[in-house]
Amino acid sequence: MKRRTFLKICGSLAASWSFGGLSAASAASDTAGTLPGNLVVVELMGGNDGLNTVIPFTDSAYYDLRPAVAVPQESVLPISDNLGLHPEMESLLPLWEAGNAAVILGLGYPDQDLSHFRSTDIWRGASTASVIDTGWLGRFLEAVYPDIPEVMPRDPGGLEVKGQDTLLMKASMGQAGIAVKDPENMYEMLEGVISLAQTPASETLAGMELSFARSTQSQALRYSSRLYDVSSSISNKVDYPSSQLASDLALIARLIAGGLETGIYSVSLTGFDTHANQNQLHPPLLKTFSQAASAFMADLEAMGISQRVLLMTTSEFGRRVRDNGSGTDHGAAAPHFIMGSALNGGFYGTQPSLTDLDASGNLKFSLDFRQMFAAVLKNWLGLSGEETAEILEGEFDTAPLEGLFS
Amino acid sequence: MAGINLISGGLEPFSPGSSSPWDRRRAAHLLRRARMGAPSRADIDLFVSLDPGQAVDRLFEFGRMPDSPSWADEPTTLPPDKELERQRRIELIAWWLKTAQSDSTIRERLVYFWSNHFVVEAAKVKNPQMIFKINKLFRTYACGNIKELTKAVGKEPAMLVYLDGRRSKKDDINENYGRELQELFTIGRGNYTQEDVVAAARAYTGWQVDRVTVSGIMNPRRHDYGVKTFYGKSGPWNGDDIVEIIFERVETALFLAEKIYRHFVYHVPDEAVVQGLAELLRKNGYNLEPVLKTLLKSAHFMDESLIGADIKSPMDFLFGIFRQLRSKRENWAAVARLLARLGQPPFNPPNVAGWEEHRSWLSASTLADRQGTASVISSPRGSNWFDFQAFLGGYPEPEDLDDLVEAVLQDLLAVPVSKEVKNQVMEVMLQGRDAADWDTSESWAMEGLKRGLTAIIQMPEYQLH
Repeated sequence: MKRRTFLKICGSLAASWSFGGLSAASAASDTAGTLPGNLVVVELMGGNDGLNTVIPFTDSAYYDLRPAVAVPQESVLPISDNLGLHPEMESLLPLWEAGNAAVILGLGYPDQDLSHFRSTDIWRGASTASVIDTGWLGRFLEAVYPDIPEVMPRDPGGLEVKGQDTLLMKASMGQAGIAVKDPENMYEMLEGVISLAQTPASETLAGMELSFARSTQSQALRYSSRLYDVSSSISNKVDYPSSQLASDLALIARLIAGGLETGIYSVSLTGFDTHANQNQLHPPLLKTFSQAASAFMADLEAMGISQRVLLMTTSEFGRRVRDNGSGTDHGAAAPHFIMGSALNGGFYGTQPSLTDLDASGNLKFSLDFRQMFAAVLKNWLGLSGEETAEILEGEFDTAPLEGLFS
Repeated sequence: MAGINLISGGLEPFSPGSSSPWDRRRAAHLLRRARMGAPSRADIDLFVSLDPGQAVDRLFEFGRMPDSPSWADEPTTLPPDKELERQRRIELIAWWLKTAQSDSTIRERLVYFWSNHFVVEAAKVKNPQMIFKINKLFRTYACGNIKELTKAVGKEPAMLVYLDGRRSKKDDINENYGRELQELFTIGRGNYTQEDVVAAARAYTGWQVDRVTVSGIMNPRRHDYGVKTFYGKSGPWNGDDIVEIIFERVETALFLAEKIYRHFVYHVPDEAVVQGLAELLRKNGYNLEPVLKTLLKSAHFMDESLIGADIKSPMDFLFGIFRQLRSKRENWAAVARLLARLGQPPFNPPNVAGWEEHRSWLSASTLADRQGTASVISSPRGSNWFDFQAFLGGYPEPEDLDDLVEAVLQDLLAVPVSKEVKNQVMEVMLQGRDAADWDTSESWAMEGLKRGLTAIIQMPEYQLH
């Protein structure tokens, strides 16, 4: 399939950069220089309906308030006495039963904003400040690699398997990650590109855009062959379903197994804004997510790296408790998933009440999403409490997630 | 921002001077920002011969409306013929790309601007007549009255499908349109409450789509005639009333002025200029034309610091290449696929906020795709796409390589480059031969020209808009 004549053999993974002052550097790790664990963030864009994902199937309020979209009790897949998964999420049951999946209940934040775009920024920025111009993973990467862009790590710190960079990995000095949809295509596209001398950028606004375009180009040139080499050096060990999300996750599995030192990844699945036709639109999305995630976890297991990888979902909000006759409007609190074989699966946090709602008729959150992020930073990515508070711009109590990472 | 020259001028008219002449570079800047795709050499020749004010006025001299696709007014068959609709969407994309690329005025730039403001996604709307109809609405209004356009958008079948207005009825209110109308289309976040979202949604209840006539129709049985309180005003408001109330607010003018500024000028708004534009919008009753003309004729717009201070969209990137290199024939279906790879699938922005534009167009992936795409120019297929003889014909001294390269660099790039770059482009073109041997009747020279053009288009400088 490929006409590459050589592949860089990466026997030694010795890191060529420093980790600054962060304790992540000294945390236990099986690969020198890499983070203690890999994090894969799966963004469910549009606002996933948490109530039809992890369903309170014994709560009569659920059926009373959702005549048009409630999932019939008999088809719910129970995972506790009163909560069950949507029937299209069957492929997650083995992970749940093996204790490799956790459901974190009632995630949200104070004064939920019902705008997709503002709330996406709040989640990606892990901040409710009026101006949010960096992402929480951008700030994390900036702390791990304090010398970029002057000193670039051998492998990108973070990788967004997307067409464009997002706020998630934006740091104060610019993007701390790289957005690459298809490493093979990127490598081929750059083959034979002619590089000319760089005229010094003028001290104008145009000069600033030129510097931006140049730094994007140097990122592409720096990492394209490495990403391509690693992604093509190894094959996936299981069959993935045919969806874009599945192929994005399959790529990440190959990159991690192939020895890429990149610690942080993100992918997205769009279409969750189910104002109308929810019964037609939402179930296939849950199926796509569940099948892709379960294939990914199985692949990691088969590759022997499942202990090193954590998958976490996010979404800008849940949806309105009462349906609108065809779908559901923008809501607030929702559950999210964390998966990985190093975890203690199960429920964490508290399911919000369906009758004690906020003024817009939305679920009140019982856990700030930044508490979940704090637990991941501390207990998975190896930061101290102080460093975690610095990244998240505040202290967030991780006690409700105690035991998730043993 | 220390050391960066910020923009000095305001909305007063640009008056050329020795340090800021009306020259080819500024004429090209105007054409890049006001039309779709960077200008050809001949375009620059024409516009630089006008004075700056005339040049702007010329861009507003619209010709007749383009012919619609043959099926544009056909009623929709029910149930929809999915295969026919799919084919027509492909035809429609080709139709619009061709229309936009060949427009010599600002009209199609405004069609693009409005379609990235009042967003619908073809992937959800599906029906090609509806997608065409809203595209035509944007062309009809173009630089017309924004308030009236906003009212019309609320009744467009494509919008009623896209933001679920057709599902919203008295007893089952769907908030989707009521929210985005305020958040994204008119006044912006922070200027309305959740109660206002519900009130607007109630005012718009009852609009449905007649799929046969492809029009929005009000179904009185589904409309909520009750009293709504919106921005503190109570009455039995309908959708048009809601728009009137929204446009009474100064915040609406500011929001729209900022959107216009960001698109046409720079991605970080200049507060004073945006304020000035907002005042002009209100003074002109939200008629866009005088406001936009003032902006494009302003000292601010023509400031040196802004020339090239944006990133080309994929459409601007490709259309510019087509205009500049004298494309012979465009395979629009292939162009549409390429645009999708570059991050701008026609009629399918990522969400209701539209494309973010500016720096978001460039990632490591999409820049690599742009540079790889440019390689086509020097490939054997290059001559199928572009007329290099005609390209050379635009230059007075094509046989003087130094002159030619100097002029081509000026035509193709928004910012000046060093002598070293010019020399390197010449080396790429000569491939070891002597500059004195340059002879465009030789095939090696034509191959060299293609390689030189490829190298220039692969420069980060070429991404500047």
